[in-house]
Amino acid sequence: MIVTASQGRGKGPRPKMTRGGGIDRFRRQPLAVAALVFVVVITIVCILAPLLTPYPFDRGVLADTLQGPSARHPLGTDDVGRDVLSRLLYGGRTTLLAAVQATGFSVVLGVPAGLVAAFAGGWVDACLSRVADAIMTFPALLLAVVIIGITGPGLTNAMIAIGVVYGPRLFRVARAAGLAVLNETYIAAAKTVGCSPLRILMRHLLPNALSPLLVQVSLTMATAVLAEGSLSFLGLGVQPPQSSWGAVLGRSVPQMSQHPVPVIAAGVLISLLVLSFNLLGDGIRDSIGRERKS
Amino acid sequence: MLTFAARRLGILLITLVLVTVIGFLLIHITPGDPAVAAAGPDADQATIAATRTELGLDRPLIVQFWEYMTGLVRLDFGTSFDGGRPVLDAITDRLPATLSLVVASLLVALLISIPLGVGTAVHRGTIWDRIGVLLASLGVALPDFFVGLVLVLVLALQLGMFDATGYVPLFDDPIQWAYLLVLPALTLGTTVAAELTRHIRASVSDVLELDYVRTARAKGLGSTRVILKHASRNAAMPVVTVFGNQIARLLGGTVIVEQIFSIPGIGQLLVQSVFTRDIPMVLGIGIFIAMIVLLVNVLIDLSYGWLNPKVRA
Repeated sequence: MIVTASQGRGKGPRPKMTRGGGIDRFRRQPLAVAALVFVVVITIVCILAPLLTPYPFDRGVLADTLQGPSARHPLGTDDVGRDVLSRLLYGGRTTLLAAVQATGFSVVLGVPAGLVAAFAGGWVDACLSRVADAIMTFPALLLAVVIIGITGPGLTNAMIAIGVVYGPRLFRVARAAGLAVLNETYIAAAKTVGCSPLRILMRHLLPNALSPLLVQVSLTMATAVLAEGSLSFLGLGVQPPQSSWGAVLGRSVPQMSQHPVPVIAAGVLISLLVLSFNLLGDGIRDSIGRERKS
Repeated sequence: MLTFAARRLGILLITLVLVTVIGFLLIHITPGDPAVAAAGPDADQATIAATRTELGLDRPLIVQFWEYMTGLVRLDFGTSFDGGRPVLDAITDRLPATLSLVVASLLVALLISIPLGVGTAVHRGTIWDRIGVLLASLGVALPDFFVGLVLVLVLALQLGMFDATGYVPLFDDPIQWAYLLVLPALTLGTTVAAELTRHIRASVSDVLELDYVRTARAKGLGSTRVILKHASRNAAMPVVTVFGNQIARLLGGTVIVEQIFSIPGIGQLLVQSVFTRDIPMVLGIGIFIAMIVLLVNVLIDLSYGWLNPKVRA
């Protein structure tokens, strides 16, 4: 909220509804706020991983393999003697970065195409929508695995695959948001005064499509974290000795019956992060207030 | 009705061609030479070149594509790099296991989501509703692999109620087949159930607020009869729509679940083929699954016509 000097003196115009209105509504949702706090805390902790842990993520002490939780190793060690907590802290960086990459890629792929489809209409819209539908019918994880099968394993390939798979979702949201404002008078006004299509897209369509896109970005982050977990669990994502939450989990499965702690810790972290991004998305949607929660 | 079905089939064909084009282009645009993958890890330049000619990978892309497409029409998915086995044979060998898993999971998903979804919608705003919604949100966030591993950990390893992994074909031993499928089906079913519950709750509570439902209640019909006879058919429409996505999700989930429980299905074959860089197999499985998903979607589209006569026009 912008508090101006005139408000303080009790004169002048009443404060208008600004963007702060949405933020206020967001603050009144305890679950969404808790989710945001969790995401921020996890991000900071993972960034500070080298300062927080004395152990490296990629080298273990072979004398200390498969230890249970202890004062030195709160979550125990893995099958080559690496500290599991350190692996999780460093791994969180990979997981988060991968999710950002995948989501960013689908935004870059989906949003311009969606706005163009809405703005151009006609056969351009029909073609782009068909392609999006074709990708959407495909099971996401399966398509990602197929793409990795063609391009070869590795985290970047995996995240490009995820980006391709979720691009159509952002395409749909951008297209719908674009169509919703396309008939507004100010678009007609912009056309009348001779704005170029590019200018209308960037200055008039995009800002109005921003809020629903933000919701979708948060939900896509959730699915990207899930996908990174699944792919690294299968061994198709992060390659050793790199760490990620999915990789820690996948690696600990063979010793699960004796050492369940790493599996549970990594699984709980992934689940909480996914849940947080979902709740965050729901929270943003509710604070925009334009769409009703279903 | 006939033109409706014909139009749907037309869209199906276009989508299928698009999927194939995208898959085919990916192979040739992305780094990584299929001939190198086919020739094996230790091949020298001459072998790679020979393999390239042998597989016809040196011909123009459009020729290769045409050949692949005409093959697909004859249900020829090409041959595996690994031993030259027809891709379709390998897939049909693995199909029963995957189908068993999908059907069992679907059953679990419906058994959980219908009572939970309808129940929370009818008792909207009560504490039971809140608990149901919370469970559904949790279920959506829980990764398949984590649910599966926790089930194995608790029910199989700690309590010893089930075998941790394995699969027996239905006709070899039906009882063992069902017994071994319980954990995988629970794993895959619960995550899908969570999503379905949310949709069923939303849809049923929307329909329950409509005038004709109030009329039905006003003329003295019992709650059960109103829901089953009047509300269910209309409430089913939006749910059936997401049902298609959920089937796709189930098929995707088999990749993970088959890996955890060592089920010799298509998902496991796909992961193995990815590791051995068996590109025709990977592409073939992809297109095969796409065909199944599209077919399911057409059936769902047709069911709209049955659920709502207005769509048929």
